[in-house]
Amino acid sequence: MKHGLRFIIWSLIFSIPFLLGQLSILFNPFSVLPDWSIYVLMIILGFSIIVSVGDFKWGVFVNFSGTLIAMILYFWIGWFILKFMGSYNFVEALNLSLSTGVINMIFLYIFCLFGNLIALIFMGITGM
Amino acid sequence: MISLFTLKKLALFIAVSIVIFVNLAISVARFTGYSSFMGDFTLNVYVTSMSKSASSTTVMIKLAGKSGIEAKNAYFSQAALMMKIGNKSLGVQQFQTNGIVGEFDGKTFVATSDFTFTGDRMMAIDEFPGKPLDYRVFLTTHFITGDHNTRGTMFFEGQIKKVEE
Repeated sequence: MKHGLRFIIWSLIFSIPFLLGQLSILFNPFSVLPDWSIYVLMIILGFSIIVSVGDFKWGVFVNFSGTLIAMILYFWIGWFILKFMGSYNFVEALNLSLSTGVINMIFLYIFCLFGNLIALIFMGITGM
Repeated sequence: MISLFTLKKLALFIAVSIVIFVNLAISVARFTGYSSFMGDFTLNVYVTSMSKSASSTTVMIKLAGKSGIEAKNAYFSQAALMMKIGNKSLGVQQFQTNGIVGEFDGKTFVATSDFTFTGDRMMAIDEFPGKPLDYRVFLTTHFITGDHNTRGTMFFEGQIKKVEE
């Protein structure tokens, strides 16, 4: 029971930067950092979640469920933008359509998994 | 097995989150700037002078735009003008451009060009200003944020009823 609660809290914590990452893809043309930077950030994020949680197995599952939570939040934010903005924003809202959201999520999740694997190697070397 | 909130271990996670958040916040601010620039821009079209000769009529047209926000990072590359008198079309006219059309100082936009009409179109334009001139303007905008040049098209339509300075 206690483990379950911790799992949910960690997933919620993880879903926040992941959601922001998904939104960064949406606002990509106006980004300060170059286009590919979000993928590097996602690798670092996947690495850091394992280090933060302190256990590879837990970290991977927290990563996965956090991703799903972020996806649901992303869908509702997309709905909100579609409903309350008009004209040019409609183009942005089209980007927010579910299939694009899912594809972006899978992309980002794969990069997080790379980060997870790097963390596994890192933990093996340092013996954390 | 799973430690919650050991700050030292969280440091990297928090740092990455902050980087993602700051980047997103700046992107959203730039996007807001862009959409309010596109939304608040107004354009007036004037016929400043008309000179007639036996074989052609030359019309001087002035575009006067006003930006809602100060946009030093924006410029215009093309202006296409579709004109009509009654149901007679005067075709699509392009403003002269060398990549940038008119002058834009971030707040006001001015572009002038003369268009010469001959033949049937001369017959049509000669009815002006007795008959109003319907116009449609397509203005190609460029909004620069960082390395990115966001291109868009603004559309305006209206009617000109008289020759004015």
